[in-house]
Amino acid sequence: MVDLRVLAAACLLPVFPLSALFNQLVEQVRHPAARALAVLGLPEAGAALLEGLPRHTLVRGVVHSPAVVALVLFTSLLYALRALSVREVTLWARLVATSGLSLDWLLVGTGAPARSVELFALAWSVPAALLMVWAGLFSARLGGAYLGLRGGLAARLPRLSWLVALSALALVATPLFPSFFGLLHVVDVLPLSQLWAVLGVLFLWAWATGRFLGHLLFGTPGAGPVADLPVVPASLGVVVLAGLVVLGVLWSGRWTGI
Amino acid sequence: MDRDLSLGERLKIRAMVYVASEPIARFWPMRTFIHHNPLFGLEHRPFPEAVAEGTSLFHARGYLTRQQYQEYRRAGRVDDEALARRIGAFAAAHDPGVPGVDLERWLWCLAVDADLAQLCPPADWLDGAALAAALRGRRPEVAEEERHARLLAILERRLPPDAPFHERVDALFGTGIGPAVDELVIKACLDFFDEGQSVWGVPGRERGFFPAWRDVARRDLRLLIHGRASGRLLAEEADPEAVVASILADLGIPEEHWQATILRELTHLHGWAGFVRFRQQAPGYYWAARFPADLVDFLAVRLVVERILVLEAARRHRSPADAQALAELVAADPAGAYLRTELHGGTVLPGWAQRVEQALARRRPAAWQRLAARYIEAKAHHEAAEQAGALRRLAEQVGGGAPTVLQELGPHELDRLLGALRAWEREEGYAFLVAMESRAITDLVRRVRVPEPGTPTRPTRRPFAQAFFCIDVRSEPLRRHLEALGDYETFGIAGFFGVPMAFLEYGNGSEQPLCPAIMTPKNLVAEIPAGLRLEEEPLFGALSEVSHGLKQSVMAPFVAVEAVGLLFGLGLVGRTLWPVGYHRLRDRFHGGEPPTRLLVDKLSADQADSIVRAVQRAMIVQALARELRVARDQVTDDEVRELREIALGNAEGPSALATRLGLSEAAEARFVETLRSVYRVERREAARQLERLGRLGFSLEEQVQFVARALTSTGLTSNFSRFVLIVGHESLSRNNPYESALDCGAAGGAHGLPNARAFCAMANKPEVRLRLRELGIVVPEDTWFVPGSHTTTTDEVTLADLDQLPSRHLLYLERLQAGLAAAGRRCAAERVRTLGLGSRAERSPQAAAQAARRQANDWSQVRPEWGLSRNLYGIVGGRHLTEGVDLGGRAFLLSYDHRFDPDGRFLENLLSAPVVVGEWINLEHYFSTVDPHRFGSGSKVYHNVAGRFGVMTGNQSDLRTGLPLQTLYKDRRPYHEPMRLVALVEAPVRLVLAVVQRLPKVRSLVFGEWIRVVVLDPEDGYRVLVLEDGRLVDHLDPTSEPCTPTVLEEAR
Amino acid sequence: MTSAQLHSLKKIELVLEGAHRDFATDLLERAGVKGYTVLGGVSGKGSHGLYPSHLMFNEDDVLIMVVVVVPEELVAPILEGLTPFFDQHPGVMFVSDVQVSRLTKFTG
Repeated sequence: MVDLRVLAAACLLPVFPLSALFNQLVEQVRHPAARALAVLGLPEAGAALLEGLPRHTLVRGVVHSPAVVALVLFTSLLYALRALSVREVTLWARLVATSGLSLDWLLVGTGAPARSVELFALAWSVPAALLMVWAGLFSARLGGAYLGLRGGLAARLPRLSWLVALSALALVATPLFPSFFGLLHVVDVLPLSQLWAVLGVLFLWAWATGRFLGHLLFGTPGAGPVADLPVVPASLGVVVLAGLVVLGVLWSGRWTGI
Repeated sequence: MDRDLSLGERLKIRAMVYVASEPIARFWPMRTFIHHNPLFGLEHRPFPEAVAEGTSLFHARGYLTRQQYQEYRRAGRVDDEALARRIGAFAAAHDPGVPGVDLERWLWCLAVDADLAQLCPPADWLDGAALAAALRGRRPEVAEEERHARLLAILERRLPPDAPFHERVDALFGTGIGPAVDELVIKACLDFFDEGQSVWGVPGRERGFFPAWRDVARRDLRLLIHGRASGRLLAEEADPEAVVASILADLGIPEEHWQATILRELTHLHGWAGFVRFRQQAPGYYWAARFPADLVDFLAVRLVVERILVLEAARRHRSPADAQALAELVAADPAGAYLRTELHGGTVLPGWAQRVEQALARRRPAAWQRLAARYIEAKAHHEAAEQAGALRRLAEQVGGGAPTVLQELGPHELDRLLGALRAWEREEGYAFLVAMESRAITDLVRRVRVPEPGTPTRPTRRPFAQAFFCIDVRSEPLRRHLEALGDYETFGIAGFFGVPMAFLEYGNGSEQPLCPAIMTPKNLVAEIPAGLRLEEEPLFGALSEVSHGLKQSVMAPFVAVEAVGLLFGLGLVGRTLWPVGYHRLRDRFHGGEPPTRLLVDKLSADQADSIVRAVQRAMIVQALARELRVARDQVTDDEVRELREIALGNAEGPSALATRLGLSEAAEARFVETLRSVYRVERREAARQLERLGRLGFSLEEQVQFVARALTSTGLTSNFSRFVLIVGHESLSRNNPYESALDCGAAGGAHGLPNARAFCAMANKPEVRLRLRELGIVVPEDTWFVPGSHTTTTDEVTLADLDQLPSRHLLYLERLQAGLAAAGRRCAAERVRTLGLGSRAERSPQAAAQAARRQANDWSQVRPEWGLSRNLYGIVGGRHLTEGVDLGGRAFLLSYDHRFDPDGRFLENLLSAPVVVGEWINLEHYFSTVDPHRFGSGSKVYHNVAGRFGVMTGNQSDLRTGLPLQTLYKDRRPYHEPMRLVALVEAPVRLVLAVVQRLPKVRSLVFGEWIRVVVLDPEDGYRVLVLEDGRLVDHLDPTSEPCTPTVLEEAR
Repeated sequence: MTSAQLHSLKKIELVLEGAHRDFATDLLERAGVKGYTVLGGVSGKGSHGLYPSHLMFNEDDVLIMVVVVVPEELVAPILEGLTPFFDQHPGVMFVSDVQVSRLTKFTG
């Protein structure tokens, strides 16, 4: 039967229906910094668990079966769909991250080295963690990280809005960010008959991001002065994102064999 | 519909729509842009009341923000004393009776120092008790029983029964029906009202807006997918009135609210509604006659679409489908309804938003009841804390123990204080406005030159030239520079020079009214070329005609590039890179215009008859050429005459021509029929043409009247110089839908030159001069009236009809033109500085003139000139008051001499036409400045022309009314200072009041304070009297009370 | 010699501001009246104040009177139709009995 460790890994590196557990775990953490760490750490723990398992279980066993592949793709589509109507930043980040992280199982099923599995997970969890941090900053200033109420945040909090926008783009496989190359590899690995699912995921991500950014950027600004993020933390955020890009470009070489 | 309306009910609906639509200002097509007051429908009420109502109707601002007023105050534009007086008056009237709180000081600090847009924002749960708790650092408590009652009150406020139904559903369920309805209605309007911009038109437009729309809507997939209900609603052949009544009844709206609901429905798209309103009331508007539409149709379309979408939302989201269901929903679960309105209205606390959304999505009432209780507590706490913080900060600014006093106040006292502060915030904008105007009046009055008693107000020597300019503010700098150059005397008169006429330009098919929009001209003036050669046309002109015509054809994209593309390409490149040079080149190719004359005299019966005959002959010749391919030289005059008689029904039988050509009887009969139907050679048409020709021109008496009135009212009755220039004005810009807004408002948004030419033609006639002599106005033999045109974008003055100048004047012509050119260049230099065109342009007057010309010809320029921005003053009096005074191009200058006007007839004319036009222009600028996105039309960059009569923002939106951002704002700050027109009148007070009393419209404008009237009384030592709050106050000594009440009471 | 026969009809007279002339005549036409008469230059006094008959450039600010003769069955609908208007605007409406000789000009 299915190894307990595989099940545990499925909780941490989310696959439906155990992905609910992952989401609940992250939800329970209140403090934004701690939540960011949870988003970063839990998938890595899941990947580490998988690393410890013998090869054959992973490659020819449960993980490689078509049912599991279908389940993984279903998870990804489901969470992408749920993210469409969400306006709260942490919830959105969590759902889209789940959607992306579940695709990691496809790599596991094809016998990729453990290091690659971990890095793949990072490609989604780092932007998600960043978004958690930015959401915390929003809450501190506006009382909550719910977008679209009194929009026009781009005018009132330009630096923070920039960071949120870039992080959101990093999360949904925008080129040059590592998630893009990760998705590219998934496309490479999947048979043609199942490609439509990944395209569907990409389409949903794009739609969700469009709506998300729309709520973030446009609208008539509300009243009252709000303090924007100071320059130093903002630059720090930019450095992290830039680092992501560099990592992505370097890493892509390894995937595509350049 | 299952409701058959009786005739009475049908008429009642029409009347209701008519009355409801009155606050919506009419929207004139932008081809002749008319500056008008956006709140014209509310002008019967005093200004502050009308602004309050208008801003709530149109969801707009009526005054600038507090911060903007504070900026003006820092720049010294606000009269502190006037502001303090108003605050004092308010504090005395609204004393909250709170011990230790000096309301005047608090309000002064709030108005002048506080960096807040709003001290007391609207709050649901805030009251004295909550505030007291928050000030002491405790959480406010909302008792259970009280909560229910307050919930109902809040919901009543947020979901008023006379709001359109879809607004209420959207507020509760976030269904977005409002924008969807707007989009579908806008599409319907664009399709129906198109005036030749699109190539394919909606079929069946002649039957009216609603029938045509319904036919198309039945087949519109977009509507059909919104639900099966649409099929049923659109299937029946009902009148628009029946549809309106039926749907309002279906929606469950009680009849006493129909009027208010209709008004709120129409104001959603007030641009389009305003256009429909204009169209249905415009006499002789071509498109309205062909494709009739009125507001009842518009409302019917809107309501049908709304009903379809409401039913669909009811099915999909389980939202209520009529007012009863909605009321039941709200009554059954007020807490849930409150949460819904919070979430979808955007007022929810951000930290709770996700929880509220999830609770509502689960559709379990128990869950959101619990949540509501906790949420209300949190909201009450948030509101109280915010308000307490704001009050504390204000108290600190007030200083001197105010914070401690605030801390000690009890709940009831806090309630009263809050009430007073809220009431003040509603009035603060008006107080600042009055204070700014007070400063403006002081500025003007200090600079005006009061004449010494006994000194003559006009020059004693004979000036080199006299010039009449339009009252437009842009004439002021030119007049100033011209007078500074030498012996020039200038006068100001409305740009149509008192001659209300409809103008038929040579080559133009329809007539154009050239007079203020409030007048309807009765006479027609036609322009005919001096040498009539109808067949010649430069080749380039024909080509450009073709290329522009091609733009509208379907085949254009495929053909134009090959055939005319290169030519067009030249145009595009030339226009962009070398604006001035290209246009010069183009004008040269066009071969210039032939010299023309204006027909200002009435035709005699014989003349009229010959003209009709000549037109008919020309038509017959055309018909022969096109229908029967018979060339002009193959037909004799007699044959043409015979054909004419046959067509008019005066003769019978085969014509000589038919016999010669061998035409069969049937063919000839067909030809005659074509002559009658297509070429209009028939008896009734001839009679109509004769009648129209009867409108042509003015009788001698009328001509004398016009000239005499113009000369007497402005005071030019003696000491005429050699040249009397009559200068109209126009603006030049490319690719500018607002071009007409920059033209002459007094000439109905067109060029004033034809009026000038007509006036000069009349004034130069010997018969007219003879009659003027009898009236006491002696015009010397060597005086010649010359028409001219001032192009306000380049400040060039071009004289017209110079071919009619007597030869001895030619000697002086060069000096005159040089003077005008020099004055124009100096004027351009002054203006160019404000446009910020760079230091190169400011180096010299020549450079400035060159820069101005480029600006005018640049098709990418969003601001060719500032136009009427910064208009502020209207001065009715002699030029001696303002000669040499630099008014910065902000004043409408009307020349008026009260000594020639004992019974005030001329003052009546001035107050009821030019001053009203000035008021319209001023208020258009005012409202578009204080709210550029609701009253104004937003940024020009996003504008798209709609149907050739208006602009929309983006792809599809409401028709934008008002002026664009670029005309009024510079670098994000208002360039135009929004204040009401300050009308300074140099005349005895009793005369002014008597005249105002006689004119109901002017009376309501003056006493409603839509314009600020300042009277300089020459019979009282030029005392400055300002009308404020119904009293006449001496401006420089406000504490005295000069005007006896009886005079003022009679005048009210 | 045939004596002219007189028929009884109702006369409605409206006094209102000239600005609303088109509205009033349009309403009457939709009600189905055969014709109407408009008198300009009317002056008077009412609850809204004095109205001089001074004609400036158009009829907007002066009073006009519209006279129309209709069969009895049209009176109620016309009055019902004009009620919302007179609720908000100055003016008055009178109905009286009148007799006419050429019936076809007013009905049918």
